[in-house]
Amino acid sequence: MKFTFIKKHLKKGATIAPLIIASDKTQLSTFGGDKSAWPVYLTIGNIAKSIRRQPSKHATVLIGYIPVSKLEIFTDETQQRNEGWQLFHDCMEKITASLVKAGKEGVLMTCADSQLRRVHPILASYVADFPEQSLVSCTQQSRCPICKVSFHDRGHLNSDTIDTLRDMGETLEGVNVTISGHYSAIADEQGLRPTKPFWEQLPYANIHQCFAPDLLHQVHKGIFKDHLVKWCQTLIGADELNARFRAMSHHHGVRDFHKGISHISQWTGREIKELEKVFIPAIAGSMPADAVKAACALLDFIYLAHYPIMDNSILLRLEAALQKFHDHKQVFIDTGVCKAFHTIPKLHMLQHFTFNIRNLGTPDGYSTESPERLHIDFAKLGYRASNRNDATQQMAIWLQRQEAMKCHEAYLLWRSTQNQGLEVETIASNLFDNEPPDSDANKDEDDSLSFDKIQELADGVETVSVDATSNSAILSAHPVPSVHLAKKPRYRNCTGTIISTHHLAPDFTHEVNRYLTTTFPNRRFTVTDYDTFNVWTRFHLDHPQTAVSADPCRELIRCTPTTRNSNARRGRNAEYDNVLVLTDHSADGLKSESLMIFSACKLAYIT
Amino acid sequence: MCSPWKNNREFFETVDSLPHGPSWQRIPVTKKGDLVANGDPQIEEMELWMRDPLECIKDLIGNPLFKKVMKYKPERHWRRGKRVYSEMWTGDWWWKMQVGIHVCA
Repeated sequence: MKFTFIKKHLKKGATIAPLIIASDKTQLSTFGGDKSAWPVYLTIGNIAKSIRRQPSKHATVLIGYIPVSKLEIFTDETQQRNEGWQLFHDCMEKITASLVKAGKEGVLMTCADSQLRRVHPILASYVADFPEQSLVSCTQQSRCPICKVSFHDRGHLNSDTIDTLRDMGETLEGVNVTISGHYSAIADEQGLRPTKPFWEQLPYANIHQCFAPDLLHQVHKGIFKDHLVKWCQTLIGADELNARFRAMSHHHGVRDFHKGISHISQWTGREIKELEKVFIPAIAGSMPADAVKAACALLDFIYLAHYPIMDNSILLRLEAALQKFHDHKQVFIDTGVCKAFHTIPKLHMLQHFTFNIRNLGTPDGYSTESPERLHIDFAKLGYRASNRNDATQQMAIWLQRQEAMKCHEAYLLWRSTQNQGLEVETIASNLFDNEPPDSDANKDEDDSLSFDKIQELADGVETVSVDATSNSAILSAHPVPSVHLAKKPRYRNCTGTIISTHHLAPDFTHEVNRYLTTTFPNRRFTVTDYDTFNVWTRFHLDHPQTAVSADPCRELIRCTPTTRNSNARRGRNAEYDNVLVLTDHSADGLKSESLMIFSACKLAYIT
Repeated sequence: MCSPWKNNREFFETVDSLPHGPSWQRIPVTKKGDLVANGDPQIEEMELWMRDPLECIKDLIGNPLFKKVMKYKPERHWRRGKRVYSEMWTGDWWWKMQVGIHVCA
């Protein structure tokens, strides 16, 4: 990576606004009518990814609609295609024209904390699916937009080095020679398209390193659904796999594929993620051991890639998981379910994950899921509001009006709080605080995580290291859920007999008596089969945080008996969940390596 | 209750006069084809709708709602002696870019 060229222009005290541009062609009309839009979105990396991801926060803005045309004015199909690529780049060049000077010289901007900064907007990341990545980087789809790997080597695992990564200067040279009509050895070797790229003039941008990992298209829809699931389905047989999914027991938070998976024709991202949760148990034992190992390795990779915070050890595990898949992948070729691996560009892209994560942060900030969601707000709703004729203009006006209304709404909200006396102070100080940014920087640090050391680049040259204050918040794997029970019971006044027969808890009264004896040794009464109880059939466990995420999560524990409807037919199947109960509180649970004392019990009743 | 506007055109005029984000521009794009009709090459006229990304960046970076979640400089994080990556500002790209900028100053 060459950063020497920066030195010529930028001065001390520059603030970088890393641009994240996303583009994705989308269908507008649902039935026929072949109308599509090509919106381009923009956001900046200064904003935390959790906010960028939420469409309701309006942290991503629409900066343009690229015209979509089949270019039927050209006779030759190749030319149609080439001109189509060029049209995209020409339009993008027009859109980004103002960024060329701004990136070099910086623009004074008032930031959210009321400080004036000289901001250099620099293209840092381009979020797109694989065909558009190839389009943006001017590479052929048979190659990789990030590295120079040849078509036939794409199936192997290679390590990223400076020699293998594409160099922007070389790309430009190759492209320019080809456009001028001469033969370029570089373009031929590296598989370049004859397109004059829009990023040629953009300062400091290295387009080949902008393509952040894309969890939705590359991992979930690409590798997992399109390939791994198909391979396994062929290996096991669709009927057998369906039967295996049907045989799975139900559990809260796990989707029940009660019809199997072969009939699902339209997969949503959410469904794929649900399938990932139960996929390994469904295939284990029915395929060659190597195939299961390879599938396990890929799923490990998928789950590791989802971590919102990754340290070096996780990146190494990510690499190891991919290595393990490549070690075992031959079985898919040998059994004939997969013809070749080099025809799968997404598989190759996985090996650039660690490189990209080190450069641009974790993939959850870049998923194409967010532009797909934005299509609804920025393209589809606008199209539906139009009269379908010359829709783009109406969509632009519609959007502008929507924005104006939202602006006005925020203003009215602010005004209404202004009139309420005491609240003015708090809200106004939240919104328009004049404090310098560094004074509250430590306060803002993520409460849930503790870092031993944070080093930041101050506005000056010197580096500052800050020692985080507390180490006590280290994430523990010790489950300490709070239990939530409904106010009213599901069944009132059930006798012990009903509980033991209907709720399938045969020794109920006996166990209750035993419990009472241990808890209240001096009790005077005994519970009989004719005493009545209130029965709850479900409760929630609220975990404030888990080992894998700092977000709270809720688990549902059910013990519902079979219900019968009015025709005495079976209404709903019985559902009994398994729980692990910690009986010895002196043991240190999952956190320590001491012997854990848990007793598993089938929860048949909660009284 | 009666509306303060006579018709929807008047209403839209009011909406359009409200402050809004960066305005849209229409840029005509033409492509000259090689198909010939009536002796002339056919021309396809298209429209590019765009707005100035610089204005959009100003809007984003200056939005007081994002004050608490904004960073203006890169950081490096360590946990138990290991480098940790999460947000964009914890990555190497930004750091190198900023160092590059400062070295030259």
